[in-house]
Amino acid sequence: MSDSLFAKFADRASGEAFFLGHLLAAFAARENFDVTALAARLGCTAEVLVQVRTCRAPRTDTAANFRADVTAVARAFGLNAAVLAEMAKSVPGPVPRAPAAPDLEPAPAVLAARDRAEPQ
Amino acid sequence: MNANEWPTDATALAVVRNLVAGLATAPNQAALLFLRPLTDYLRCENRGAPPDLCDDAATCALMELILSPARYDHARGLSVERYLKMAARRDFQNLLEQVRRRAARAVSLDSVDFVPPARNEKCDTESPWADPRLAAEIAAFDHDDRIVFDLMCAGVSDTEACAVALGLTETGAARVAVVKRRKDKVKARLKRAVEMSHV
Repeated sequence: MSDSLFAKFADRASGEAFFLGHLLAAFAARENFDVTALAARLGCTAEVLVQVRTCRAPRTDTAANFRADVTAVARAFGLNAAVLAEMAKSVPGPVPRAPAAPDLEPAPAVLAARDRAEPQ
Repeated sequence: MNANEWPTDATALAVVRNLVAGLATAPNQAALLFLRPLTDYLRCENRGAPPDLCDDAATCALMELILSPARYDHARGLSVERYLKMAARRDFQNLLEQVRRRAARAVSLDSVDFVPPARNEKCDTESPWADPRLAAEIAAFDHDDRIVFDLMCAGVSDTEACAVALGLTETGAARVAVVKRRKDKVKARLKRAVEMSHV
């Protein structure tokens, strides 16, 4: 696979709220992260980050779906799940958030992941 | 599997089902499996076309499948490969049409403020294209002459860009020759009109 072809696709994907790349771009812009810094924070290389950007943004309709999606992406690419969850939660997602009451309590996995996250 | 080869029907279908199911990594799987073969297919089908145009069309088609996977209906007997190829061909044609329209529009706008004032001996605000003989000659251009003229005004001298805008199917030297003939014809008509306007 030509890196530039796939990178172009990832760039295009990052323009769509459906993709994880969109969330990551929003997070990076807010935190003033460049690609290298973002990849390092997630625990991957810039090359792997290109792949990650083409994944679907985690569903936020239920805590279980959010957890499942974050875990799936983190496992597939060897990312720090806690950091990915934190990033995904900190910027608006593509689908309506779950009703307020169930979402007030972060999922246990997310809490556990937060505990392991490095301080900023 | 080689990234340049199409996946088997079963593999392709499994990825589409993952997309429909909302698997978070499914769009990445789809891009890894389909992007390169789809791009190669378009480049092969449209030899001579700008590679970027093929890449963009392949991306559009794949993006559509990822965003709306349920539109693909396996029960209709169409493989994922054929479905994507059809979508990509359609997207390529649409993009090509956009390029042609953009080129024509850009030139029309450029020609409005084209006149270098120092060379305009008749009137500081009047375009040389306003000369009646020249204007009549330009108005008489056929569709293809107009495309070539517009590109020339826009400063586009690239033969391939011209060939694409003209929708040429010829390849290699024949393609270059058609563009050159068309350019020479337009230049000759403009030259003749300018000479007549000075008589």
